[in-house]
Formats: sequence, structure tokens, C-alpha cells
Amino acid sequence: MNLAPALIQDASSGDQQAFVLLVEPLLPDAFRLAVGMLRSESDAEDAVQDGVLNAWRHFGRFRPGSDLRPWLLTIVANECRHQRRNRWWSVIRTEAPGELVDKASSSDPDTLDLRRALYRLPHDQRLAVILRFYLDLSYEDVANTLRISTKAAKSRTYRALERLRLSPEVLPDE
Amino acid sequence: MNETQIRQRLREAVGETRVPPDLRNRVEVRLGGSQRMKGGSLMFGFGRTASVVAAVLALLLLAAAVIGIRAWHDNLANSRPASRVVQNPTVSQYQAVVSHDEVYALSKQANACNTLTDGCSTAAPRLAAALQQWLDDLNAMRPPSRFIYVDAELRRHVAACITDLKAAVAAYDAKDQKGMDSAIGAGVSERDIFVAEVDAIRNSTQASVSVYTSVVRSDPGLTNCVACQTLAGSGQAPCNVGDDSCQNNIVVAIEDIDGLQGNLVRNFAPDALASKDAHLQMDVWAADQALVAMDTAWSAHDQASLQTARDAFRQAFARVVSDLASI
Repeated sequence: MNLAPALIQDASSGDQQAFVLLVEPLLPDAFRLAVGMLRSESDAEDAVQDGVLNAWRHFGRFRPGSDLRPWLLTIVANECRHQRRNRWWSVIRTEAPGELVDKASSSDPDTLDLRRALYRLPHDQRLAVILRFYLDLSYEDVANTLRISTKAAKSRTYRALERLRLSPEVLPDE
Repeated sequence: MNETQIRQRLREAVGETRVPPDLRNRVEVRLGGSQRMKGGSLMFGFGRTASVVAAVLALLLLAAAVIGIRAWHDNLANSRPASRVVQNPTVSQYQAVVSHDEVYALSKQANACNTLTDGCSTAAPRLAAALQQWLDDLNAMRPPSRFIYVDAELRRHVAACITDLKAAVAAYDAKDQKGMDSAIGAGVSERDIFVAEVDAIRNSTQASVSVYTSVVRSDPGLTNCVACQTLAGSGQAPCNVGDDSCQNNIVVAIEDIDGLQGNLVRNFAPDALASKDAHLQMDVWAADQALVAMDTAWSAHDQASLQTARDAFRQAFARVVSDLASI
């Protein structure tokens, strides 16, 4: 991504408008990531908003010259993890009617099984699968978002697919 | 199943979604209440006096932490067990040296090498030097028989981590952020592996016949190692350089074989099964080496060597399966 250095500098100096301009093109990816992780559009929007707020607060840690997308996605993914943890003890917050879970084609038993299996995956494995197959990120970008090596990203994705019984026989080159 | 099919199945499962059109506005509203301080640090509604007090307290805490950490490091440095390294250590002597050297090396880790301005050129060599001392200790010892294979693995991973750290410093000096990220990522992976190996060594105890048999027969790594079976199976699934699924299978198979190796170290065979265990460990080692050779060949785009290594893996894996069946 070609980020205007001036925007980054302005955002680093506290210019909120510059920061919004920087993250705006990334919001669709951030939202899709959160939806993939949380199943609920309203929870996803909360996670994106909280994630962007945290990104703004910690923008001083962003390394000029590196890619903003994996940096932001990492933060949003962490927000998703917090939201899921919170839901363990929150009995009030449940899936609202009309949420994504109802929009997905639910009549096919295989799809239902896959959906259940996906949300039973450990956070890191589900994140790898969502980044790779729902956001269409390259393995290099998956690795940057997960802050692990490309090899480890491939391995984690592969293990997740095995658990989902979607073991790839032949994967095309990137 | 190919990637396109996987993608389609997952999208059906998750469901397609539409980004709310006013998401940007809502994000802006959410940001509205938070201000950043000049210079990049943050302020969340504290008054100036409170901020100054907080800063002073933070400085005092930082100073105390630095003094404490330095004292701890000095203590570790002074107690580094060079004199405890003997050529033919007992099991407990070997465990003590490996364990202590690992703690010493990991104490040299620093949160550097994240950016091109954070002091990687001094932090990484310090860690590399500690790892080199550890490697020297390992090279000076002849490990007890139960640790022969894991010792060789350990030396390989420590050496690889040193290489990665040197590459990180080279990238740092060249102002190559991407190269540094890549080298550090590789080094962290090596570190995670040798930490697991040391854990197995540290906790190695001789198992009873029933425990050992049960551990070997129910080893989850091997029974579930679809990647091993794909690479070793008679189905001749393709595994070519440039083919991502090939490298995936290799990496996953290495992890699973390493897992089995760790279990064999952690639950060392009883005397009655020592001979069979020695065969098993040797064949597991051979399988692991073949996989490493496959990985190297894949990365070097050397199809001939990849095929040769795969044949070696096939043979070694068949022997491992046979060894397991005999126990």
C-alpha cells in the first residue's frame, strides 16, 4: 500500500483527520475480519470501532515504511479476541435477530457443520483461516498480521483446514 | 480440495456481509473523544499536574526495574555454568547445563529489532553471543544416549537462530525493515522449537513399560499426521518446488515428527524396551532429517533433491511405522 508519508506524519503528530484518511480504505477489510471472527455484524462493528480507537491511541508505535493493513488488522483481531472472551461471562449479549448468522445459508447440513467447526477452532487458527480465505490475504500478509513467519502462517492455516476437514490436496501458487 | 473450493465453502459457512455505509462516520464519532499528545504519546483526560506526577512515578518505577533486571542479568552472567560442562555428562548434568544455558540465553532477549531505530544492532548480537556460548557448551559435551538425537536437533535450531539474528542485524544495518521482520520471524520460530526441545529434555524421566507403550501407541502427532501420510503414501500425491501445498505438508510433517521426538525424550524408554526405543529414535531422526532436506530443496527450487529427500522420507517413515507397531 502506498501511504502518503505526509498523512502518516500528520497522524503521528495528532491530526485525527489524517488518521481517518489513512484507515478509511482499510475499514471494509477490518469489518470483514471482525464478522468472520465474531459472526455478528453488530459485534463486528463494535470491534472495528474499538480497534480503530486503539490504533489511533497507539499510532505512535506504527513503523513508518511498513504496511498499515496488517498492523490495523492485528489490532482489530485482538479486539475480537477480547469481545469473545467477554462473552464467556456476558449472558445478556446474544445474537440479535437479523444478524449474519441468520443470513448465511443455513439449510445445508454440511455448511452448518462447517460453521460450527469454524467457531470451535482456537482463536489463532480461526484468524489464520479467515485472513487467508475470507479476506484473501497472501500468506505473507497473514504472517505479518499474526506476527509469525510465513512458514508458521502456512502451517497454522493448514492445521486449521485439517480440523475443518478441508485438507487441501493441491494448492495453487500465489 | 483446492483453494477456490475451500474459499467458497468458508464463505458459505460464514456468510457474505456488506460493510455498513456509515461505518466511517461512526468511527469518526468514536474517535472524537480521544486526543493524542504532541510527540506521539497519549493523554486520556489527565490534568497537567497529574500527568507530571504520573511521569515522575513512571520514571522511578522504570529506574527500579532497570536496576533489578541488571542485577538479575549480572547474577545470571556470573553463574553461567562454563565449569559444569563436562565431556561425558550424566543425564542430570546434561539437563542442568542445557536448562541453565537456555535461561541465560533467553534472559538476553530484548524487545528490539522491531523498528529500524530501536537498537537492534546491539540487542541482537548480545542474544546471538549467548546462544553461541550455549552452542559451544553443547558441542563440548557428548550427550547421554537418551538425548543423542534431540541434542543434534537442539544444536541445529540454536545455530539457525544465531544465523537468523545475524541476518536481522544485517537487514537493520541496511535499513531493510522487511528483511529484518522476516529474519526475526524465522528466529522466533527457531526459538519456539528449541524451547520445546529443552522442555522435553528438562522433564525427561524414565517411563514404566505401560506408560511408555501407551505414549508411543497413542502419540497424537503421528496418528494424526495427514501430511506425513500424504508425503510418504503410495498415492504419489505431487510435491513439487513452487507448490505451496508441498511445503505446507513438509512443515506440518516436521512439526509432527518433532512432537513424537519430544514425547520419546520426555518419556524415556524403560530398560526392557531400550533396544526398540533406540531403533525408533534413530528412524524418527532419519525421517526428520529427510523432511529438513525436502524443505531445503523446496526453498532452493531443487526438484531433483526434493525427490531424493522424499524417497528417503518414505523409507524412514515406513520404518517408524514398523517400529511403532513392534512396541
